[in-house]
Amino acid sequence: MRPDPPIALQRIAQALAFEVAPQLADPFVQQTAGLAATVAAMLAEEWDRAAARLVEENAALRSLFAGAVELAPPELAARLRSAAAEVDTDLRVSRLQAANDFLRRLLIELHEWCEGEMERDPRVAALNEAIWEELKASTRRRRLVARPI
Amino acid sequence: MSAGTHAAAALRPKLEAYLAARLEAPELRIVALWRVPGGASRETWIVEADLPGDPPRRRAFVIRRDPPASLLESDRELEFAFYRAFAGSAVPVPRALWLERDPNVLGSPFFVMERIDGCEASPRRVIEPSFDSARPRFARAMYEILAAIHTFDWRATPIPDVVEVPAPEECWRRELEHWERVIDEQELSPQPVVRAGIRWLRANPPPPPARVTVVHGDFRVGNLLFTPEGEIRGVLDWEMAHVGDPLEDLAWSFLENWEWARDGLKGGVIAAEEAIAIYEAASGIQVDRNALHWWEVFSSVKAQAIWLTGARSFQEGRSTELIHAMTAYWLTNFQDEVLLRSLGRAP
Repeated sequence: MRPDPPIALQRIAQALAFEVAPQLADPFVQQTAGLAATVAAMLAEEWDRAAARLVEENAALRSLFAGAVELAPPELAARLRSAAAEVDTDLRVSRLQAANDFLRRLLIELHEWCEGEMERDPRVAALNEAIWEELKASTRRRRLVARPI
Repeated sequence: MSAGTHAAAALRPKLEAYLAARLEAPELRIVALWRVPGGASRETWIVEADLPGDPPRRRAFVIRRDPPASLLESDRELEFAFYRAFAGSAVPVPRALWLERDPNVLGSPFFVMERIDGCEASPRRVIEPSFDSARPRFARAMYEILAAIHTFDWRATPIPDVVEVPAPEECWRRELEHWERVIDEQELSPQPVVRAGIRWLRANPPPPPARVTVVHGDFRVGNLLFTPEGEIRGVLDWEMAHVGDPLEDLAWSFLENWEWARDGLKGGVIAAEEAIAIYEAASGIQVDRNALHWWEVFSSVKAQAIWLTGARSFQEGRSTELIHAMTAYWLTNFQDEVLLRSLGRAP
């Protein structure tokens, strides 16, 4: 789509914040216009990066799982192996999000297992640290520059 | 006519009839009615009404009405009881007048309070340069009032009728289980950071408080009514109030979310250690720093549960209010970042 949707969304945000909201007398409605502007600005930021962010994170999680297969107990290891072998072929954001949800649910399980086992095996302790690094990275990927208007 | 004025127009005749009946003033007329922006749970409306007389006498009320959906699944009877309990105490609250359970009166249950005039409630106001001279007074009053909440003798008030009173050693578990259940029910996507936080909280429980006290549940600058001189005249939004560990409130007030100027000052007004010193002197409660840290981690879990509740209500169409989308997009990830810092996992 041209003009690019993020640009159109930014224009919508600016119109709402600087042209529409100041004309509104009702404080609640004025706030609603400001919120609409903020949400539009956030969507503008997310629109372009969403697929890339999810593909990157899904790949990072699968890589983490691949490295955890040899440490985890058999049943968990089998699911980690299966998840690690998946590839994102459908690049619609909804599909990538569903895959991300599946992988992050498995990450929670793996993390909990690590916490219970890391005292007995330094390799599990290292995996635990890798999970924390991934959690930090996940917040960096999701961080938005847009702020409430 | 805008959506807001349309809602006000629909509300006006019903509210006028209700107030006229309550005040036994059939000729009462509403002269102003508007919804207060910013509320994400219960709707807050301001109404000004003229009562007959020569000249007419004007009264202002605050209506707290249940919305179709909110960030909180809260109990209006509980909030009303807490306002009633603190009336006339050292904790300034608006006078609670009537609780109306019948949803047919205004479309959903509500309660009515008297408005406190001459005050501001914007958290951003407290970081403005024009508030510099008032800020120390405001900050001291804030933590002295928190101490007053925690030393309040609640047992002879309506409060025990609307809350369960936990044993001291059960306070942390009860709150954690409650908010974990909210996350279980409300999350749209798995939350690995908050799940790690919950496991940490379970593994590192705080010592029990010396005594259980009233906990406001949302004690922060944004819920205080104050004058330009820094006097606090009202503590609002008691919808998450309960009885429990007083450190829960102190930690919540320290949450990074409310550091509006991003300068490390809690609530944008005071350094943590200074606030603790004021609070300890006024309450006689010694603040165990490790226990406070536990409640700070807990505060992020609780905040996340609130943002996730708003996200689901918006996603499922139970609420169309954009504040739910905005808080979900912005604060869910921010809260994860705060939680990682609280756990010592991020700078």
